[in-house]
Amino acid sequence: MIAMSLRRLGWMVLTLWVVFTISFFLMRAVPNGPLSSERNLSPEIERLMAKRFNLDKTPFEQYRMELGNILSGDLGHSFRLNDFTVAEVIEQGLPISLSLGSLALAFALTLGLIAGVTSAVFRGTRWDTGFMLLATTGIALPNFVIAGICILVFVFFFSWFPAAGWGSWQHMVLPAFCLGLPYAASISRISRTSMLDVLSEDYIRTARAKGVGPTRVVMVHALRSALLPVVSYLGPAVAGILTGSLVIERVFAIPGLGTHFVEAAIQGDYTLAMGMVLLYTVLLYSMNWLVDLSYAFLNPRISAHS
Amino acid sequence: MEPNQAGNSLGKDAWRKLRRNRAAMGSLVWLVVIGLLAAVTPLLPLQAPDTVQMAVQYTEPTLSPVWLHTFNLDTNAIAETPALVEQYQEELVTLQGIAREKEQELDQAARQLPGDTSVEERAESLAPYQVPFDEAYELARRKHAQIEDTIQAPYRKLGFAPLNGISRQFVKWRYAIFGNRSLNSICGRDVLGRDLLSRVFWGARVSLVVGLVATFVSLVIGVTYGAVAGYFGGWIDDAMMRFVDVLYSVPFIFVVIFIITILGEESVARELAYWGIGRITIFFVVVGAIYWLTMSRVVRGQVISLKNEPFIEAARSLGAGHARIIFRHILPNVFSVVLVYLTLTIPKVMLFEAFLSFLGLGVEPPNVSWGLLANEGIKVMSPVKIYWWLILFPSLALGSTLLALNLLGDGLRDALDPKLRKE
Amino acid sequence: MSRSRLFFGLLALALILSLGWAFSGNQMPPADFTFVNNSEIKGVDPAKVNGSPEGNIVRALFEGLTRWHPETLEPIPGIAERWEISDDGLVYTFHLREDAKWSDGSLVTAGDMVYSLRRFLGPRTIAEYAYLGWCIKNARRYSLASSSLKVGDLVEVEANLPVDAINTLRGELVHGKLVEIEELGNDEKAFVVEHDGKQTRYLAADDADAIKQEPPADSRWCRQVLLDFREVGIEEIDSRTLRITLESPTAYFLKLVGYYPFAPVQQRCVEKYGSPGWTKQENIVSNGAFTLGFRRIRDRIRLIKSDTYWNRENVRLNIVDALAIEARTTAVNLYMTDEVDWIISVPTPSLKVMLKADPPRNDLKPAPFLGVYYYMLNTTRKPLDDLRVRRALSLALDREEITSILLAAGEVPALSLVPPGITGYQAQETEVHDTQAKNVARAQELLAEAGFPKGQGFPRLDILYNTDEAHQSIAELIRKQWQRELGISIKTRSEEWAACQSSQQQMRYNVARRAWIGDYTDPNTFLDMFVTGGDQNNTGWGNPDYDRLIREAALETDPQKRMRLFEEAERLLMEELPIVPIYFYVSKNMVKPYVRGFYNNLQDVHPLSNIWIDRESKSNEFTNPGIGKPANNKLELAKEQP
Repeated sequence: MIAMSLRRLGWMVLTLWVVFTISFFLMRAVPNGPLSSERNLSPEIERLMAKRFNLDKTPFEQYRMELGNILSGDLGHSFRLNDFTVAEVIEQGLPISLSLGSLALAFALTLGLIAGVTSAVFRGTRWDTGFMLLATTGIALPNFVIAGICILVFVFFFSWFPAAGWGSWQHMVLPAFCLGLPYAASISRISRTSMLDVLSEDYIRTARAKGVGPTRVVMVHALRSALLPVVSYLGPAVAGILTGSLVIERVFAIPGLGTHFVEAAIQGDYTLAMGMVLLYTVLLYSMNWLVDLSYAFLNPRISAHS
Repeated sequence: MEPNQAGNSLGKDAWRKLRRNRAAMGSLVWLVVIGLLAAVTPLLPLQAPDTVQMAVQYTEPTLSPVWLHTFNLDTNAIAETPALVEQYQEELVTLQGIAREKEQELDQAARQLPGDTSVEERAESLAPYQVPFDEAYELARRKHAQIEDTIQAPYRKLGFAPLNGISRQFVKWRYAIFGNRSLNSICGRDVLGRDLLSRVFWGARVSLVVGLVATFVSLVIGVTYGAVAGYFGGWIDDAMMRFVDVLYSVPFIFVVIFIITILGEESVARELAYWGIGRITIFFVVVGAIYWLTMSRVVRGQVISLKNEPFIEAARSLGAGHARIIFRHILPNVFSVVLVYLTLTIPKVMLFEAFLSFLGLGVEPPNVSWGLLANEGIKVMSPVKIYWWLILFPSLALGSTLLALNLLGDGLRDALDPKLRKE
Repeated sequence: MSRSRLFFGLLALALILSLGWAFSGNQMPPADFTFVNNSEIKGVDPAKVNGSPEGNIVRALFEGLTRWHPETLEPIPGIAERWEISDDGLVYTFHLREDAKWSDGSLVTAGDMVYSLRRFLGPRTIAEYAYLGWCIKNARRYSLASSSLKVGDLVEVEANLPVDAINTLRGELVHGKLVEIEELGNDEKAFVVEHDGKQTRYLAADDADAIKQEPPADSRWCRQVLLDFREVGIEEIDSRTLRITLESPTAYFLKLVGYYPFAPVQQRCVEKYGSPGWTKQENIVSNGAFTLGFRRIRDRIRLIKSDTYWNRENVRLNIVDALAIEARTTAVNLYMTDEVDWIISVPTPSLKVMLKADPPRNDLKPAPFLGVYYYMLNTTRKPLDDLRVRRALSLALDREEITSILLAAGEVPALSLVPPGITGYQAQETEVHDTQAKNVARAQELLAEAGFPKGQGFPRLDILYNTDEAHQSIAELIRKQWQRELGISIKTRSEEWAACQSSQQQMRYNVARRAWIGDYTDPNTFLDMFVTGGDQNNTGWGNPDYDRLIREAALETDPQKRMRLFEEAERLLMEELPIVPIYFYVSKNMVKPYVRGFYNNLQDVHPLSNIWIDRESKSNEFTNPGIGKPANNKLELAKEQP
């Protein structure tokens, strides 16, 4: 397991370097550099600013310098959010994204598993169809539509939750629901499929034949094996939830990371975009590593190399 | 449990199972209907999608009267078009000739300049040639645009975005069948008084094409890549799959937005527009080029399990080349997996297009897509006033299609999965 | 078996812990007054920002020599309690009040003012608004650094600093006389400066370069060579008295020094923490009615009443929250659920419905202000270089359709650049006919004359706008109007704000949306944009006569004559139409009825120090539903007439 973790770490470093390189040159291709402001600058000042951001150097030199900075842990200043360093931006946004993300994930897991397992167990019945329809709406409508409708219903019709903002648990419920819904849909479908697979396995039949009660068969014997694909889905899902929450953040005015992620790309904020991309890669790798660990933990027969 | 009849091919068997799945069959029918309607949209008696009428801004859905008599296609102008176009074409050829001549003169003059001339001097001494060239070029350009304008003018006047030849023919037929009748706004009107129903129909064309083409691009790349990696195995497989792993960790939203921003920049966009490449085309390619990752993994897995089967061995012993084995013997057998994956990727791509519309990076007016329409509906919704039809109908169209695709995908998976076939 | 149970136990525990941690976010005390400040601000450094969301914050944190009256916007005493103006209108002597204090308790001195203005004008500060200060004697030359220097000028040479020095520090200054400027090519220059009878040759180098390399023989490195600041008309008489000498009498100068870019910053603070470090909430020292309490990106800025502000008795809000919310609908939702008390701009679809409410709402009163919405035409491109084409585009525009149907909040169709409302000025309108039909006929004629009969052959121009619902629908409507009346095929293209700005500056556009809101109540704030090569003039248009008129107006002492010169300039502009004015803005503030001290005014500026909450009326409102606004946040399903 330690060897696996070390290998993972090695791959992560290599991937980070590749991602850094790709992003670096991709960003330099964007026409609107950091110097575009509301005024035309005199050439003298423009030179000064270019110098400040090292833009007067050759791309290769810039690349070397930035790589050096990042290796020393300095992600630099954000080009657009002038008052903040990239580290500060992440420091402000990450806790918010993390708490919103974990709630969304908890919700997605609960709803997804219940729907998936129920519809697998009652395959072909009305329960199956009903749950699957419900679960599929999560990936059938854009989340801005879902969020808009949720606000209308739960904020204005029922007055249950605040319309937007951040600060208390009431503020988190609606956004977490809207953010988690597509993932709930995916989880329910994955768990349904794997549950169906497992239920047709011999050992389940054996258990049934031995007279183990149906609830126990499902909950204890089948669910455990059926969960493995769900667990492996969680890795990319967590990274996606943390960074793909732009729409939800905009609609509910939440100061998380998702917005920076997209806006940095649109606005040509080189440093912030780079910070976000690297953060994403690290997150993704750590999540996948956790998933692998839990795999090995859950099922010792599966070798750690997969 | 039916006994598996001998001779039943996998396809037939699956089809039989699929037919019993009512949700999947319903979805299939729905998708076919939507696809057909989208294909023949110009033929339907709808209002033009881009007719702005401020006076009827935000009209609620209405059925009285059922028919509007405003679709007055200028058939005379259309009839005159071919002759005019022919005449302009001739003029264009002449003008292009002149432009080429001037260009040669300019080139010649440029070549005669000494090599060390500074940029300013160069511009100054070439001015006597540059100006006539620019003028001649401009005339040719205008003529070129005039031809396009002459062809499009009758349709544009009615409120159509530039139409291709087939759509123009459809519009003409529609006029022959229905006359100047068009269906009233049974789905209401938007902020500029445009008919929502026809926008949903025209949006279907864009949305479906986006989903299909982008997925197709991902299919081609992913299947080839996955099959090659899986078939050759060893270090090739290792290297290729590690590459996929690395690409997986590049956040693709970021890449797509970056590329769309880069290519949307004015000079680049103009260059691309010259080649007929719009933002939508870029979208196809970029999204297709990103969604192939999962595809390639899935296909690779299948190929690995297939390549040691006896029939592959047999083909190899008969001297078939690698390419032949991959494309003739292996790929047809991964068809089922690919099909399932396809039905599940199309909805993802369509949702992604909607997301880009939310960011203002989606299709550009006068084109419409479902995502764009849904976004417009949501943006005007507030607790003060809900223009419910602007949200309901686009969402319904988008939602039902995506739902159908997902259900069909699930049904296909159930039907094609050998493990479940036992049941 | 126990293994998996342990795993799920751990997973559940992790989830519960993270949820507990997520929910335990420390609650801040609620604010007295909360408003939606639209987009995230760029910063709070008065010299460096522009834009109205920034203005709302900076105005609350800092106070200049004067303030603006919340209703009339006339200048009233700020940190200067009185002032004298010389008879020729050129010399202003400001007397600072004894109790003008920084938030750390120290006095705001004339020295602080001089430092701040120098910093504001200094080229290395890159102040967006520095050009506003150019009415001060020699300020322009100081600001433009070496490019404005002539042989014989008194100059200051700034020495280089160590690379790791705080970035707001200045190097040591050498004052001397410029003896010679050597052009070294490639925009580089060498300056020979005579100082204490010695001549030294200076070469500009950035700090890092200066450290790394030896300067060429017989030369010295310097950071920059500027006009001697002692030549600039800003002078400290004593610690409470400041004298400012102007280039020419500037009618609006008192108003200008109340504008936030002219506000003082504390030298000690700025030089201790550097920029932008000094604006961090733990470092910042300010002198306004509020101090900076908390700042989180894309969330809020919390302002706390200052206990050192000289006029603190009259500031009645203790805590103010400014929310950065970009989605307009979200802002409306927050207002409707009583989470915020003021939203700056109500989106059009909601606004139109609410304006028709019966009985009329008492929290929404759109009023005109000095703002104009216009399209710039890139006159360096074909066919927009043709005046006939530009005129045709302007004539074919049905502005009435835009203002009365699409926007419908009382916006006025604009036929001139300068909005109505400036006393003594008669806006000069572009030529139109009495009916739209005639306009269109004339436009078609003009277009045909320009070589595009029935619009055929016209290139596919695009309208560039920054991504926003309102701009999008206007652009689409105009696209259709031009297509309908002229037969030309136009496209629309949106770009995110910063990208859009840079596209416009680099003239990578055909037609582009712009808007301008007056910085002060004078035609100059609109008209001086379009001098040849002006910062805001991204049309490629230039006219020497126009430049001359603007220059003459600046020097004119007679207010009447001055206005006539501006009128003449605008007439010229509206004849040549490098821009197509579309409509004049109205303010779209929605303010809860219990908010007092909030006035509609010509610049849509609302100082927070004057705002207060009528608690009685606020609590009444909850016991007396039905007055003005709904008692709860249930849906108001307004029925709209089609």
